[in-house]
Amino acid sequence: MKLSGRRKLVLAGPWLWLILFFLAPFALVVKISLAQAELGVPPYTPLLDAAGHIQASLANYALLFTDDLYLRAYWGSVRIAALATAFALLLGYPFAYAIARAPASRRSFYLLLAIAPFWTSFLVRIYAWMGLLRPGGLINTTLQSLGLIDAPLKLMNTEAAAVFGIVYAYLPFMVLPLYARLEKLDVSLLEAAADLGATPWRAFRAVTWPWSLPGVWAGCLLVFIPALGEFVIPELLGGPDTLMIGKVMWSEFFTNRDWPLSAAITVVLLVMLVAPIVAFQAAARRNEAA
Amino acid sequence: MSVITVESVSKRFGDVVAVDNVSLDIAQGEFVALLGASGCGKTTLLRLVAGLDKPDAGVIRIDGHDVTGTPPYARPINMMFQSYALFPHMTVAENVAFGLKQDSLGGEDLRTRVDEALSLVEMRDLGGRKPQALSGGQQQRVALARCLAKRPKALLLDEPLAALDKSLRERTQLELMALRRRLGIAFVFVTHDQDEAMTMATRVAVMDKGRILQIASPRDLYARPASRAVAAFFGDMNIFDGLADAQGVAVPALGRRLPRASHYPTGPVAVAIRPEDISLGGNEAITVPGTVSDVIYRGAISTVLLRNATGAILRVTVNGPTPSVGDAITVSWAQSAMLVLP
Repeated sequence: MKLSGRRKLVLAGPWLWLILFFLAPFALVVKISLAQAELGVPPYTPLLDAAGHIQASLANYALLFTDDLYLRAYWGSVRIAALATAFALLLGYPFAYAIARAPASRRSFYLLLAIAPFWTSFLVRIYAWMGLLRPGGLINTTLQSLGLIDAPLKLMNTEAAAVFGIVYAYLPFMVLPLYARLEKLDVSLLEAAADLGATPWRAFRAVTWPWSLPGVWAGCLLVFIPALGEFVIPELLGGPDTLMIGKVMWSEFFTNRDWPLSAAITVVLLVMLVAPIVAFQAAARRNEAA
Repeated sequence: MSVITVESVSKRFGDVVAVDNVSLDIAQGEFVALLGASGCGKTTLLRLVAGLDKPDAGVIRIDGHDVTGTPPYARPINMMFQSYALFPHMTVAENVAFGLKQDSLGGEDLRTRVDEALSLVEMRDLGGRKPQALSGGQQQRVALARCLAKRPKALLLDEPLAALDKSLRERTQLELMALRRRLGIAFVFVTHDQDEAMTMATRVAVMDKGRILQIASPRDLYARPASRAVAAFFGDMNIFDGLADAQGVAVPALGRRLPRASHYPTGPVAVAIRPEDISLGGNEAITVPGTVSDVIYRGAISTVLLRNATGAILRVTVNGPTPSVGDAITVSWAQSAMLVLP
C-alpha cells in the first residue's frame, strides 16, 4: 500500500512516540540486562570494555531461571493477576451488562459513576483500604462491636487483600470494554432467541455471552497486564508474604542496586506480557475470519 | 376456529397509547395484514401477540388458551423480525437448529427438521454459511426457515419485505403466499405498503393511532371503505368535504349539490371517488367541467389532473389517448361509483 505524504505525517506521530518512549528506553533496558552490577556511576559494567570488546552475558537471565525466588515471584504474579482478573470479570460483567441495558438517557451517567473512583488519587484509595482492613480498622472494630468476632481478623497483609485491592483498582478497566461491546448488542437478537423458545438464561448463553467475548478478552487483558507487574498494591495491602515480581524488581533496583538483574526481570516480564497480547490478536483475527 | 384472539388489548408507552382497545380474531389459515403508517401501533400489536411486550389491559389467546401472562419462549407461535435478527456467530443451519434445540430436539430428528425447513425456502445448500455471507433475500429465507422449523401454530412477520429490493419483493410476495397455502397456518404480517397488503392478505386490518379502523378483505376495503381515513389510506382516491342533509350532499369543491341516496350518512361527510371510476366526457350522471393541469404518463395507463372552476384538483385514470395540458374537458361518473363516508 502506498501512503500519501499527509498520511505518512499522521502515522509518524504515534511511531515517533513509541520509538522515543518505548523502543529506545527498552533497548537501553535490554543493554543493561546483559551487563553485570558493579560499584560506580552508573552501577553496571559498560557494553564495551577498555579494549573495545563487547562484554555481554546472559548470566542475569540464567539466575532468574535457576534461583527459586524469582520463579516463585513470577508464578505469584501470574497467580494473583489471574485471580484478580477472574474476580474483576465476575464483578464487572454484571456491572457492564446493567449499564448497557439501562435506558439510553441514563447510561452515560452510570458510566461516569463506574469511573468516578479515578477522580481521587490511586494511592489515597489504597491507603483508605489499609485503614479499613487493618486490625484496628473500621471493618474489624465494627465486627467486634457487633459481637460477631472476638479477635480482629487478619485482613491486611494477605494475598487475598492484594487480589482484592487489584480488583478494586482495575474494575473500571474491565467494565469499560465490556460495556462498549454489550451496548452494541442488537436487542432483537435476544428477542428472537426468546421467540424461538430460549429462556433468558439460555438466550444469555447462546447470544449475549458469545457476542461479548471480544469485550471479555479486552477487559481481561487490560486488568491482567498491569496487575502482573503491579507493585504498589501488593506492597501496601499484600504485606511481606505476598510475592510478586514487581516487588522483587523494586528491591533489586533500589535496595540491592543491581540494575542489570532488575533489567533482566523487566525483559522477561515484558515477554510474558507480549505473549498473551499476541495470543489475543491471533484470536481476534480468527474471530474476524470466521 | 380462531388461532389468535386479541380481546380489548391496550398498550401505552409513557404518554403514548400505542395500542388502544384493539380486538381481533384470526382464524387458522388466514393471511392477515396489519396496515398503517409508522407509529400507528401495528408493530406493537404484533409484539404483544408474540409476547415481546406485555399489554396493559386485555387478553390474548392462542388456540383458545389465555397467554396474556405467558413469556414469549413459551408461546407456540413464532415471529420473523424486520431485521431478521439472525444470530451472526452461528451458521445458517445452526440458526435454524437453535429453536429446535430449545425443545430438546437432537440427533437425527434435529437434522431432519433443519433440512426440512431449509428445503422449504430452497436454502439447503447454504446451511454451512454465516448469515453475513448471504444476500438480503437469502437472509430473509433463513429467518423464515428458522421460524417455520418450530412448526408454529401461527407465523408473525414484521415488515417481511421491507429490506428487499423491488424485483425481489414481488417474487417473495408470491412465495410467501404459496408457502402459507402449503402449510395451512395463519400468517399475520405488518406492513405500511397498501399494495403489499392488498396483494398478499386475505384480510387487512387498517390501523391508525392505535386503533383498527376497519378490518375486511382487500376487495371490500377497496370498494367499501368504512371511513374517510380508510379511503384515504387504501388506494388512490379523490376525496372532498361535503355536508349531507335530507335533500342531498353539498360539495363546495365541486361547486354543486349531489343527489341523496338512502344509505348516505348525514352531517359533515367525505365524498370519495376513485380515479378509475371517472371517465372522460359527460356520459355519466355526475359531470364536472375543468381544465387539464397535468398529465402523468405511466405507460399503459395515465393519470390526468383536472382543475375545476373552484380550483379543486380531480385525479382521473385514463386508459388510452390522453388530452393535453390546458385542454378544457368534462369528466363524469356514475352516482353508484361514488362513496359518501362519515
